[in-house]
Amino acid sequence: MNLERAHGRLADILPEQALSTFAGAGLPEVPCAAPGSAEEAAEVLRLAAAERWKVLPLGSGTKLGWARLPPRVDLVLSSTRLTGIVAYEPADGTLTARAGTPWSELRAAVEGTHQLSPELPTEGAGTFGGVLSAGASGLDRLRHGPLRHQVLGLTALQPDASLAHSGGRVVKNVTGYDLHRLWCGSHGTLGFLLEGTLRLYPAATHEAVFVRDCATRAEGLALGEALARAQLLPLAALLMERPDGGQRLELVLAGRRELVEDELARVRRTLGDGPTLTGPEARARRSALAALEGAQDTGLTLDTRPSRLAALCARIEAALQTHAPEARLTLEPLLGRARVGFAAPPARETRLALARQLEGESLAWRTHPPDFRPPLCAPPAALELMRRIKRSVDPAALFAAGRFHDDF
Amino acid sequence: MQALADELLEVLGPAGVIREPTRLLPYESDALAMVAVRPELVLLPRDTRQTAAAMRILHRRKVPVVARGAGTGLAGGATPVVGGVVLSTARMRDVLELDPLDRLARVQAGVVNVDLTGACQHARLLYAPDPSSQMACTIGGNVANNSGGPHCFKYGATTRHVLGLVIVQHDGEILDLSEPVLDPAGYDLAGLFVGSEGTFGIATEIVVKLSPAPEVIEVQLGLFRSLDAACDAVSDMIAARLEPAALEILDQLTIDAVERSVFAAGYPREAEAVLLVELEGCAADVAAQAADVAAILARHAPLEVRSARDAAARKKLWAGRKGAFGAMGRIAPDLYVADAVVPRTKLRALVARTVEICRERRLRLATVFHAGDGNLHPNICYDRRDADEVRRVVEAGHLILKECIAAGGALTGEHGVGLEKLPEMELYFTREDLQAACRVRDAWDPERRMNPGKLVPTHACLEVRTAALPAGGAP
Repeated sequence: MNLERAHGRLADILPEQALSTFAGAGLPEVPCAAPGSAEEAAEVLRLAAAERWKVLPLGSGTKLGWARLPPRVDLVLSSTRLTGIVAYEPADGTLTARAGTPWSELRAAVEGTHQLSPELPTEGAGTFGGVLSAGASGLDRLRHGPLRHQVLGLTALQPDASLAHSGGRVVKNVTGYDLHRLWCGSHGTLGFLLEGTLRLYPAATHEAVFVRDCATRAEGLALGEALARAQLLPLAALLMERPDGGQRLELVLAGRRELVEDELARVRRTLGDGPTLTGPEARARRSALAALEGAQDTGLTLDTRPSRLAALCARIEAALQTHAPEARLTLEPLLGRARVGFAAPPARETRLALARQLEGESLAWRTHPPDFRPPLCAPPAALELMRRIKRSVDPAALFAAGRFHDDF
Repeated sequence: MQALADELLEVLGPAGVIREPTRLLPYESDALAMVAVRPELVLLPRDTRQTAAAMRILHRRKVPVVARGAGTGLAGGATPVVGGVVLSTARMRDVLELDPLDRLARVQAGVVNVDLTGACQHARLLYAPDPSSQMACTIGGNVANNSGGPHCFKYGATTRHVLGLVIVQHDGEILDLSEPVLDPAGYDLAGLFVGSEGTFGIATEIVVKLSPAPEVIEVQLGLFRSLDAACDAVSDMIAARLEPAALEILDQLTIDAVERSVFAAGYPREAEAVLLVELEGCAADVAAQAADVAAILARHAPLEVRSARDAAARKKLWAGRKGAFGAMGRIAPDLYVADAVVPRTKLRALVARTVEICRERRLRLATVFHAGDGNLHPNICYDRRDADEVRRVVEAGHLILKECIAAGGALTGEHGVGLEKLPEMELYFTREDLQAACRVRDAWDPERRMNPGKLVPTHACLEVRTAALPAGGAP
């Protein structure tokens, strides 16, 4: 890649301020183009196709490492100049924005009226498009589900530079395929996201965080099971390690006053009494818990059924004991999720050893150094279908392959 | 044909293959009865293994396949294709697993919607999507259409309740995506499959999320002198960020039909609109929401407000809504059930416009709709023997959809595209949008044998990969 030549070609399409050089995340220096419109972006894609460049779509790059880094990137296509809220309809409960809009700006726009889902750890820096592209759920996943359930519609540039829409701006819609479900979480392998619409939830008027300490993880998991039997569904339920070796269960409750008070009473009936944060203290703790996942960005995530979580924990603990004794485990007992946080990014060999020992589990890493390309945990028939989708949508593999698997 | 039937008989047994013309009759159409095509064969596999075996044979012989649940679809999604077979899930009716602690169920595709909720009632759980046809429609059909229902206002449509799927692909390959994960590894194949109307493959097993049954349910029913007032009350509730479980409206002609039928709910004849609001949750929260709802209803000068908490009284308030479609048989022999979505801020204007469109064409319009979602169901009563009236019905249906799309709405909220809405797909989507859809379809079914001619206009896909079999038989 001749940087100077590439910049020269791109300068025929884009203004000077839209061009830069991207370096970082272990990738070699490549030109970075930040189109300001769909038309400009399409022109850049046509140029990239003619030059046979491999294109990596990017927002602010905070989630670049959430999937494998592609082995070859010739051009970073940035959404950072495609910004702005297109429509916020409080009476419709929907929000439409351009992909490069900071996620924090979206949250600020609806503050006090609506709740934006997911509640993410990297809110300060991430873009809307980056959040959609990574497709990850947030702190509120227990109540609101994953991000892909909140997306009502998306617009994306296809590899042939055509503009494609899926879904729409209304809360109920079954017109055509849900391509937005495919694009959401595709890490830029299928197109360049330009705009999206999200459903919103009513803002909580009351919040509380219930805290219950317990001696062991087994005790904490038993409390989680008691919550499941009582059919309690708080906004979030986390079981974390305390510095003194004990465990702490924290439940985030949010909603109308009557709902929060009722849930709190049921939690106390089920688990016994415990300290409870309310008001601004609860709000601050809720934010801290969302950010905690960010602090564990060096880690990995494993999913199973809630009833199998104890067995999964035993496997994880055995693996950690051998390969990474400093790691900490955070559980979401009502969802069956285990998150492993490492004190420092583990070496490639450690990752491989852990993956080997945890073979057969649904496992996803939150960071991917350039030399670490683990296989995707999916059945062979699913891998083959994903490969066919990539080939059909992007036959020339214009959008950098290798984010999930060797060829997609 | 004989050779194909014999081969399928070997894997499905005599109970799994229908070929007698009289027994093929019920499969000629789904609830879009105006289009009927006789299938060559109907297959009734018992499970995933049998489905895969049958699909391998059909793949080898290049036979088009139309999947069918209970045939309650209103858009012609299960209408057979010439020279093709219908693969019915009617014998796949087992609840394979019910796990109250993990709040999930694994069911075969042919399990009837209401039976699933019945099966988990003992654990105080429910399956939330509740299409109006829930007494007959199947979970597999719900997955194919991403079905909704009155309670989807609060809970969301089927796609939000599907945790996993087992899919038999076009060539008989089994795609097992049934182990639930929060954030799928790689592309969200299960999410993409839901709502694909049988064009990607056949879901044989479905893992669904179950929701806790609410502690308290209260229904408030507002009777209004005008449809506008009912629509405005709904818009006010959405704007106030209230979250009822359901928000449903019936118009005057529907009220009249209901009151003259066995579903009579005691609605006063001077009422021009009924608004049903169902609230659920804990007792204190329901009481607080009920007070907010009552205040909003009062602002719009209702003729009367009724409320009920116990099951029998609630059932009575719902009787008119649940019986509305049946009651419309009293107005005319045929009913065209339209389905469109509008932004909730434009509810009143678009409802008024549908009334106007039908009035201009001398058509009788009975509207029942999921107001909370902005999901309109303008039901046009007609007589199919009157060719001119049929023409006016089709014209009105097309115009209503056009208006909804122009207002920022959508072509279908829960019925799907099927055959019925193919012409309007090009109003809603651009050619590029449809080509993007075709590329994804090609990845699932490169020969386009799965429910061919449905959902995506064929000519939008530049080329047709598989010609339908010549009339008269499969090779």
